[in-house]
Amino acid sequence: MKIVIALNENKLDSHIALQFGKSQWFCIYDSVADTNEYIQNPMQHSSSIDFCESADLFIEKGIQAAVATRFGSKIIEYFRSQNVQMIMTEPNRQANSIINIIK
Amino acid sequence: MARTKKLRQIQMAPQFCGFSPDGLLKNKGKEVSITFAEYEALNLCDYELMTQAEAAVVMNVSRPTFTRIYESVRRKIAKAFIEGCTITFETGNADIAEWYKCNSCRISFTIPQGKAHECPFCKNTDINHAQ
Ligand SMILES: [Zn+2]
Repeated sequence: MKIVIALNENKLDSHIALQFGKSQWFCIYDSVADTNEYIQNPMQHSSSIDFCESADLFIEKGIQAAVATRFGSKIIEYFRSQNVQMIMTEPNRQANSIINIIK
Repeated sequence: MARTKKLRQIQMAPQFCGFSPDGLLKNKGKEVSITFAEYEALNLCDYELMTQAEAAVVMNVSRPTFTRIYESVRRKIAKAFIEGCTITFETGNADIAEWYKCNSCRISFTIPQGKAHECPFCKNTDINHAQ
């Protein structure tokens, strides 16, 4: 399964970002290949409507689930329409704690 | 002309129906009704400690609209607290996303169509509807 995790920094011990579309980084983890890829959020300071357009990238990459502390309403609508699972965790959680679970 | 009210997405509905004051006979008549949008505004600002600007973004409303919702809920709670009113929750214009909870993983999650009714992390099927 491919999962996108919203992060504050581009490393595995980074904390989960507070808001999905507003995070600085995304980590795309592929549990089959056990690989991760970091993508800087190009729309960090944009409106949530613009962000949804760039979120197409996640769909193209075959993302099935997204992790953040919260999701804004636009991205909830978007992920619902794309059948992407949304997972909210506590903000003090680190990316590697999630990757280790779904490995 | 009446303006169409847009749906305000809230993340999670309260897990109870309301509050009633202790020591007063039920149905004494005084009641305040809080919408889910108002509940969420209070949650974001006073429980999750976001700024009003941040909370407005989360709720997908303008900053002045957020301030109006937030002031409204604070006044209602003050009234209930001072006058001993019952507080009830109503759905208002909020579109509530369906969230589920896994208590062992401490996560909340949605279940897309065709996906199993289980925690995406621990695969536990003993999950609670978070509404
Ligand atoms: Zn679980």
